[in-house]
Amino acid sequence: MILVDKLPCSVLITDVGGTILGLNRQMTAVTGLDASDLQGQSIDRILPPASRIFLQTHVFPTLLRNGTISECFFQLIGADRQAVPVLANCRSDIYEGSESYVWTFFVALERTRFEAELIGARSRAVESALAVTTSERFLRSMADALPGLVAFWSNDLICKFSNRHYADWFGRNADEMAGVHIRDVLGEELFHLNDKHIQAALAGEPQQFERNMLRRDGSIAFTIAHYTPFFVKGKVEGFIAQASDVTELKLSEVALKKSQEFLNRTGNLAGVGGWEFDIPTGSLTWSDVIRDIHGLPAGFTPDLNEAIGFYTAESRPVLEAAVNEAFSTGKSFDLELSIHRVDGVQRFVRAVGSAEFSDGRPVRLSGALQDVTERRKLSAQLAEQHELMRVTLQSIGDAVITTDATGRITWLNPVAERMTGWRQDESQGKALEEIFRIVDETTRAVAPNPVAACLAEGRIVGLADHTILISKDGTEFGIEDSAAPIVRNDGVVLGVVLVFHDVSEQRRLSKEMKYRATHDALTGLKNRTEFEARLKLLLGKSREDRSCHALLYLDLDQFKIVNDTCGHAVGDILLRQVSKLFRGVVRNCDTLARLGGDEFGIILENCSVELAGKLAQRICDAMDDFRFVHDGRKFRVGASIGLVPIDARWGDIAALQKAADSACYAAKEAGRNRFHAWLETDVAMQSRQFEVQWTNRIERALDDGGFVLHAQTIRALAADKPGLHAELLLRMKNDDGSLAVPGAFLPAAERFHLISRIDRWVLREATRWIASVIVVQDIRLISLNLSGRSTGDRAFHAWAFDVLERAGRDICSRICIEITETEAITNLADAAAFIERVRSMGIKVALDDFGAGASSFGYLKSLRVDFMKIDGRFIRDLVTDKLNDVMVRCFVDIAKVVGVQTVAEFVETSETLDRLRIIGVDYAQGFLLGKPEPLARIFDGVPAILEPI
Amino acid sequence: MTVLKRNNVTVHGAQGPFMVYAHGFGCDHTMWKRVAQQFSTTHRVVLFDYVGSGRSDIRDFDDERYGTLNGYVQDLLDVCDALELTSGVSFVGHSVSCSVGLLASVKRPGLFDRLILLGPSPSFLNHRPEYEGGFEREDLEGLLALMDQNYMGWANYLAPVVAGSDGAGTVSAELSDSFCSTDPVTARVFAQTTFFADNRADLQYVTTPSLILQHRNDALAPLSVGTYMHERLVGSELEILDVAGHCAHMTHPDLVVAAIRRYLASDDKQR
Repeated sequence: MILVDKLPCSVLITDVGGTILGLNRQMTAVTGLDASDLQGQSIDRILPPASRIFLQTHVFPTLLRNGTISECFFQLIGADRQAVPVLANCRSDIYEGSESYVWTFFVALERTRFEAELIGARSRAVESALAVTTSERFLRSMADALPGLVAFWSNDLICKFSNRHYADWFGRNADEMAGVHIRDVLGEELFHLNDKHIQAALAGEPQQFERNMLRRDGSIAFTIAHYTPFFVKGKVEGFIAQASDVTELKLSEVALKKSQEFLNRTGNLAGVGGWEFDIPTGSLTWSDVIRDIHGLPAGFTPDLNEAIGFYTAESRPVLEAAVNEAFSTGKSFDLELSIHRVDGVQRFVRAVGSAEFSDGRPVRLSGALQDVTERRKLSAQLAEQHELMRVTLQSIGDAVITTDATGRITWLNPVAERMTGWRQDESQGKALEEIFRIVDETTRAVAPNPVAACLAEGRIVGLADHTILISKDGTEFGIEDSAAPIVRNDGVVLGVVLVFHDVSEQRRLSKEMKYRATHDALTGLKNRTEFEARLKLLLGKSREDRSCHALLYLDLDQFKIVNDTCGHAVGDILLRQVSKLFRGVVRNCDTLARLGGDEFGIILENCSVELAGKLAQRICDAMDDFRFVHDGRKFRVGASIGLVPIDARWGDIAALQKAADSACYAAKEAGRNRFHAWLETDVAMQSRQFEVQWTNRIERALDDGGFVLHAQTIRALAADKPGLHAELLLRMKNDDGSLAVPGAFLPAAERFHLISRIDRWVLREATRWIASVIVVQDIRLISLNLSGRSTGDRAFHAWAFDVLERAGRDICSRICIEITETEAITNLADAAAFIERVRSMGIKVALDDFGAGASSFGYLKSLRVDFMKIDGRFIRDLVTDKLNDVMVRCFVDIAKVVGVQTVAEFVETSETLDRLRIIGVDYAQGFLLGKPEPLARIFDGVPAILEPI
Repeated sequence: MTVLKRNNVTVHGAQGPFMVYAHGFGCDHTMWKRVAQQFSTTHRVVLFDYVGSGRSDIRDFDDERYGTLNGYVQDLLDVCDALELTSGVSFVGHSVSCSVGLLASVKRPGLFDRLILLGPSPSFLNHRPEYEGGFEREDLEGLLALMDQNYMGWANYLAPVVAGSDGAGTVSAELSDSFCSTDPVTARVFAQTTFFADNRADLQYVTTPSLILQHRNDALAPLSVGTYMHERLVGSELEILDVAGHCAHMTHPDLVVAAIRRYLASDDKQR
């Protein structure tokens, strides 16, 4: 490096990436940095930014490509931080085994300064040359931008300049125009024509003339040419030729004339007149039509004030305001005004007009006038009709949609808007299917478009049944609709009007009606009607195809106990629970129905008697396990089931049902919660047949006076008021004239729902009899029996109140109604209300057969009664049976606590009577004291005033 | 005059997708030789010179057209159109050509599958504080002065003046290879266009995936420029080459080739 350090130029070695590997002493002298500063640094370290870029963009790429560079000019950062201009050479070489670059830098201060001067001069020259070019380009661009033809001819008639249009016109290239003689450009003929103007222009006279010139396509153009002399120092150097093609202008002038004539002709036809008001001159021009409209003769020309004077007082300010606005804003107007014709008739006119401006000031007002009186009348009528239609359609309850002939919606009324969920404005123009989405109620399949069908068939089309409209928000409406074509007079279909209404509620109601008609409201099971209908169908089927089915009749055991002790509502709960239990046992295909009260029926389709028996047993087993719980009390409820095969042997369903009922009864007789399969030879059935006969007899007896009343006296054990105290007892006449006691016919009457009719008969007869007694005071109290069913039956109540009220309080106060507790009271609450009501009428109430059933105390607690009639079972053996004695005493104690009097039945011996007196019973009744007697004989032997026994 | 001749377009390789290489300021297509030849077996490699650079036809140079980057963008698109390329092209650009490629991808969506950007900079000028391009305005004006002075000394610039139209051809031809950038007038315009361009706002419109290859010690583009672009170019990857200088494709072609290969492979996998 010693030799290198002697060199008067800077030397540097870098790798190919520009990292400094070594430097000589001169380098340090120039940069002020030595090897320790620079080794391993980038060459950028000694370069100002501009030189760094130059190095990267010019020097390195060249070096990398060529391996050498020479006389490259850039700058180093000098020791004083000033840029030092240098000329650099560089060559690639191997340094310490690697590819590297060897750089030499010659400081070039003088040369740089000199070159900078040169560059400056060059830049200025370039700039002024650029300025000349630019201004030339500007002139040419401007001349080319002119629509006309421009050329400059020197005084020797040589072209010095022409714009593009000029050259184009004469079929030449603009670049080739310069230096061409005018005669060669214009052609001999045109040159000859223009020669005098050329000479005049060269003599300093500006020229303007018109010339028809042939275009290159052979057409004629109208042009106006100007020749303007160009002076330099007072001498004509040449002239500027300028020509404009005015063909368009000429043509439009002709066209304008034509169109004015055309306007006049058409205006006459249409009754449209034109007018024009020239502001500077104040002159008003009218066409003949306007004069006609005003009823003025031809040729009449009004001044402005006269013209305005034709307008009515209301129209004048409107017109004036519009005219003023036209003048100030340039807005044209279109008004409907009214005028008074010269003959005084008022006419409506349409007046249109607009102002024309020049230099921002209005100079002319022109417009047209048309008599629209007739049109106005018509459109008013039309609008009225339309309004009437619109209001009608808006206010009817049906939804209405109209469509055009392509099925696109044109209008819907508010009801249609509500049902489809689409507003009139958003639905307009949409396809009907989009707005009127209808599907089949059950399949959900898209229902056919009624409008499309209507358009296709050209007649009124109704909607398929069970169609549902789905509104925009998903609400569904059951609808009925019809679509009718809107047909023009000439038979062209203009569109369709679709009318529909909401039948959702109707459909829902009819569904519910159908459900209610076939179902039991309490349990949700099928009802009797539906049950019988199905039974009838099945019986018919079995007679046709000899198929075998089975019928079960079920009657709940002990239901009445629950109903009476816990109340009707609880009884209902039991019925529901039992229904559920039955439902769990029967098959899905079977028909389970509640036939009324606690009776149920099951139709088992395609079921043998054996299988039906198994099913019946399963029900009994389930009932056996079932406990009804209420208020902590458990009730065991059983089912007595009658089973009958459904087959061809039965003439009708009545026979079938009767047999099932008998079998059910047999099951009950046989000990409850069991089933009894019907057999033709069934002995039990025979006895049932006997009962059926009783039923017929009861009905006959009710109709034909087959019942009679007997009475049995009741005696007070202490002193009592005078008059007859007795219980009425019912008897039915046998065919042989003998009398049957209630035990023989009442069960049948109960079973076949005849008991209420018997009760009515008894009550009516009793009141009638009491009223018939000549001295009513002879009767103190007459007891009569009402069945539990009637006591809880509101229909009976209403009837009874009516009878009793009509009988009067005097008679009522002599009646005692005995309610038995062995016959369960079906509705305790209703019974209590009944008792309250009759007691308020003065009637006494007795609780019969007290102690015979489990619910006696319950009744005593919930029913307000006057007498407790102790069941005869306790009395008959009273003297011998200590338990009965205890029971009777207990009853009497209770009666005293609740404040009711006691009656002992079946008093047959004097010992019993004595014992009763000791116990403290109030009344006694029995063979000892008097047998039942026919009413006719009841007073026989009865003293007027009865002594206590 | 066809575009292929005007832009000195050459296609190397007979099969595979097209890969178009665009050179940076101060250079010509020859700078890409060592990289491009590595791909000529798998790709059809396209090389070209912008009008005013290399062996392009200088007569088509128009200082208005090439006074903005759009002129160079149009050159690139013209080249693609001349080759009837409509899609599936890989673009490889150096320095200012990276901006050219980005702008072309926005102007002609779907043409490029990917952009490989070596040493890109959306702006060489500083826009402090948010952006550090590396240079102040006077630095760049100094560059123009340097160029003037350098070209002043070159015979090819003076030749037409000194020797007249006859002798110029020989002198120019002899000396033109002495510097990559041969024409002082076009070079000045290109320099001005390149160094005063600011394409930062255009980055947000680019949707073509890109690979940014940056030099670790680059006098022209600080490291922060690479990060800046990576953050703003959707679907971009950034790779720093451990290289000093601004011309890794010339100094370390193998590194550049390896990076491009890696990118192509990962890109293929994703597809």
